Amino acid sequence: MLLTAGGLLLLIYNAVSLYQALAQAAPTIRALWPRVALGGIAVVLLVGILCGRLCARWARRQAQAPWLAVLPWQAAARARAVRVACLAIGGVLMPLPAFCGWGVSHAVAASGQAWAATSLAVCFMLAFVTAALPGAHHASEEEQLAQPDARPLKPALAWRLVAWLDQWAPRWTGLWAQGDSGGKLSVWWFGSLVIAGGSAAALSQSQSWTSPSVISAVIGGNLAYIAGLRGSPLLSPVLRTSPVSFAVVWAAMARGPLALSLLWFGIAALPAFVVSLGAWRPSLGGFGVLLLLNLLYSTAAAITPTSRRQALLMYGFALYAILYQGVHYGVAYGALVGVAELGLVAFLWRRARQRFRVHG
Amino acid sequence: MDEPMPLLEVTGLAAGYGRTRIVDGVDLCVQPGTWLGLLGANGSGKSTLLRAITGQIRLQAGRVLIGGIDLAEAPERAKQQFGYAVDGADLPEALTALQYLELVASIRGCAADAWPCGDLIGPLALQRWMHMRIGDCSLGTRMKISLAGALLDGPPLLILDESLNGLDPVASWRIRGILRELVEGGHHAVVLSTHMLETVATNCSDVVFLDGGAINHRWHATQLEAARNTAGGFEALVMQALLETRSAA
Repeated sequence: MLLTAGGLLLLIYNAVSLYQALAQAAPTIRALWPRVALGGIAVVLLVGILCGRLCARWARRQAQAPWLAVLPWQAAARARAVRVACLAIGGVLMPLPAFCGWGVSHAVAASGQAWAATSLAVCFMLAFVTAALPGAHHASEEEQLAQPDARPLKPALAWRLVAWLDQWAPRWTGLWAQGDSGGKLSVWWFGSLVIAGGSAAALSQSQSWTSPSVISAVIGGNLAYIAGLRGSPLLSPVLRTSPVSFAVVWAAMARGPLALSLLWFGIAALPAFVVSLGAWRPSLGGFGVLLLLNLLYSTAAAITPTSRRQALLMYGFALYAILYQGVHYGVAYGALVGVAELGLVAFLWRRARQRFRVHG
Repeated sequence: MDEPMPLLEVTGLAAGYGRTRIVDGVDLCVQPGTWLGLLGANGSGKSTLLRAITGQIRLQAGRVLIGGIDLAEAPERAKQQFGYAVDGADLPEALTALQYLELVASIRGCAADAWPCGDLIGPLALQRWMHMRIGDCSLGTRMKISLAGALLDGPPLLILDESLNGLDPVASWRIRGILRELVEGGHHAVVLSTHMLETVATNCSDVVFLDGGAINHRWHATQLEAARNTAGGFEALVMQALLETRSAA
């Protein structure tokens, strides 16, 4: 309840801030209005496609739930139910782009506010329907049999590299956390991180410049941590009825992803040292920032252990708030927000610990 | 002679979900050498009571002492005193049975085969499942794995929430034999919630009947012994209690 209210307040605050920023930049935006309008439409089309695909996938999964699978429900009827669900959800979401269109045009005092709202709503719905409806036809038996839950766990290569960390008590907690969510540390993701790091390192080398290397080390390290960390065992009665503390369980789940994160940081930050042996300060600073970012994501994952999306959203919002305040009102103000967020982090950690322990 | 310290002492316990109270005013005392049966209709609050005792839900009132240790004040030390057979559906599906036992053993600081009654893998016919994912095991096999985990390191108090229900007859007979042996040794106690009257009639030394979230009837060893001497005696006792409760309602 508290979190929902907090999130809502943060959302309203950000919307108001955005409105003010748009109002301040109104003359520039009005001068570039055709381009802004086209850009807005493109963004709304992309978001609509993304939402439509996600919605169709979600609705198909619901239509293929085990309790429905055993009922004599024809494939055509199932696909129809999926389509109806997608249309209903699209209809519920449609006012959002309309509101955004109206808000932007109102903020910059552009003419045709109703037109902006309507056109964005129509664009969104078109994109949503185009992406969602073809997906509804895939509600086939084959898909039903290929539910992700039925697949045996195959830990990814990157995860196996640090699996030995899972040998310490409580054993196998990291593997459990990875497997429970049906997720695994994707080789694809890890590979893309390596490519990003390699590019930054090459840039560092060619430009004799340390920043890209450190920045990619921080971002890559944090992404590796996010990719590896899952908090689902925190809710399990197996651990909650065992003589083990919240901190120990948390450390057990985080040690693998943290090792990966630090390994990544080490590899990507290395060029900074190679380029200039004296440039240890940026790397050290980057290391501190990486630890803070990992702590921030840890909090989000601890408070929403079953939903990775919620954790990512919470983390993204927190990060955005710090960056936004820092960019618009100066580093000191951003740091102030950062300190306030650290207070929030401490509070949320306490909540997560209480939920695990129940007593005390 | 001094009475031994109770392994479980519950005083004025009230617990539930959100603001709803499911169990209220529950008092229990379980001495070593006791097998307490917890009976009650569906929704009577048996599982909620066991969840409160094992620290899974917050107490709304009352106190829980496990081996003399307050669960609220020292949860980790108190939890060292009991083994809880979690529901099969709550086991970590991604792990194999062996990994699960190693996980529990690493927390308890013992070997993964440190059972107080000798080997459990053979008697429970778990050999072929040890390297298979728990997610691929049947309900009965999951319950066997859960029971094997609860018995690791031989905690003095064993708490089983309908844990014998899904077992095959041989495994059920073997596990009841093991539990009986432990209880008769005088250092352990069992709290078993179940609907299986026969198990309660033949094994339990004390029985409480839960209705509407409160203890409605209690039968002690002497009453149970007397009931056992007549055919269907215990079943008649329970049915009489159930009917009395319904007519009073």
